[in-house]
Amino acid sequence: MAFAAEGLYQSGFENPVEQSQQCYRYLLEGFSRPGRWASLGAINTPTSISSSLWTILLTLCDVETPVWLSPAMIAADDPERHPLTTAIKFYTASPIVEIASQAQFALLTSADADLLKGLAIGTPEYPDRSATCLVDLSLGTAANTGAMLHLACSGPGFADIRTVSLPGLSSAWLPAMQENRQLFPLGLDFIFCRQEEFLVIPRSTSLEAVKCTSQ
Amino acid sequence: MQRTQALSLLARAEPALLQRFVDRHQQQVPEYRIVQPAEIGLMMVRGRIGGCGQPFNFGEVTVSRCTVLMRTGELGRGVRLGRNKPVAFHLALLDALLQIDFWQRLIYSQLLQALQESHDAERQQASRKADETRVEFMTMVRGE
Repeated sequence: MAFAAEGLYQSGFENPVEQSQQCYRYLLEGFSRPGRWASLGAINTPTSISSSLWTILLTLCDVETPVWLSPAMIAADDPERHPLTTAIKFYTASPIVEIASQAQFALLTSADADLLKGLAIGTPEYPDRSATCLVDLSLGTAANTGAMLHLACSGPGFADIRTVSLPGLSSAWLPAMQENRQLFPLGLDFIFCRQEEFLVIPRSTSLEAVKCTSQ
Repeated sequence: MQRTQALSLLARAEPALLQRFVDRHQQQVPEYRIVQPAEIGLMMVRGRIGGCGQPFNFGEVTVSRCTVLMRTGELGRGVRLGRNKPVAFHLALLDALLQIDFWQRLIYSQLLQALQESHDAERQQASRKADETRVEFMTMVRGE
């Protein structure tokens, strides 16, 4: 007989100090050289979310970081397993907030482009009081449709214009993220997660559509 | 007894006392698994001036903590001031057992009752001591 609720309690870091420090280093690298995929290595997840997203949550969240989950994120919970909110509370003790604008970390799926407007962008005195969006590209309605968003990125951290392809994202994300760029120095930072990999697009990155004929 | 009350008593108890209880019942304890091995870390203590001011960070304290899971799903958490991993584990195990009726009665009669009594006695003695040094202020009524 299996232990009750065991899966929930087997999703932590095996080596909390080393694994969270490694993940933090990757995130620093990701924010200073945006638009590149990096792998965080596999880890057990409590639900069907990407393992990179879970690793980043375990690394960055604690009692002082309110977390908000989009309705699509909550709907993506596996009914046979524990809800993601239970796991977040157990492992990070972060408060789960109902109001999107109170969140420091917003968990989104690929279908949530229109929810960005509700998130905190910071204030001119404190631009750091803005939300960081953790977007799971393998969840959401557009995730498995073969949709692909190609972006031409430039700005701090880019030597030239660099083309970034984000699988599972619809074209609705481009105007939403361009608007976000206009708010600089306020605005949201994005961490896109897909299985073990993640890619950062901070608020400082300029985005253009790519006219792509192939694919 | 409330869970918080019981845990508060256990968290202040002599470590050897808990150790002895766990050792004595080693054979009967239902199957469990350690889901968060005992670890030592820092915890921020917050305070409020007069108990109602703005909360501020008072300072960090060292705590040891541990989490165990019983086969039947009870989750026990042990947290204690100081660097002592075994006692954090014992507290976690006791917290989980306290959620099972049979064990709750056993722990109450073998541990908590005595702890509660000695805790009450200590408090009484402290307040008696404070009472001895009480200063009575008298105010003279000024006649006009």
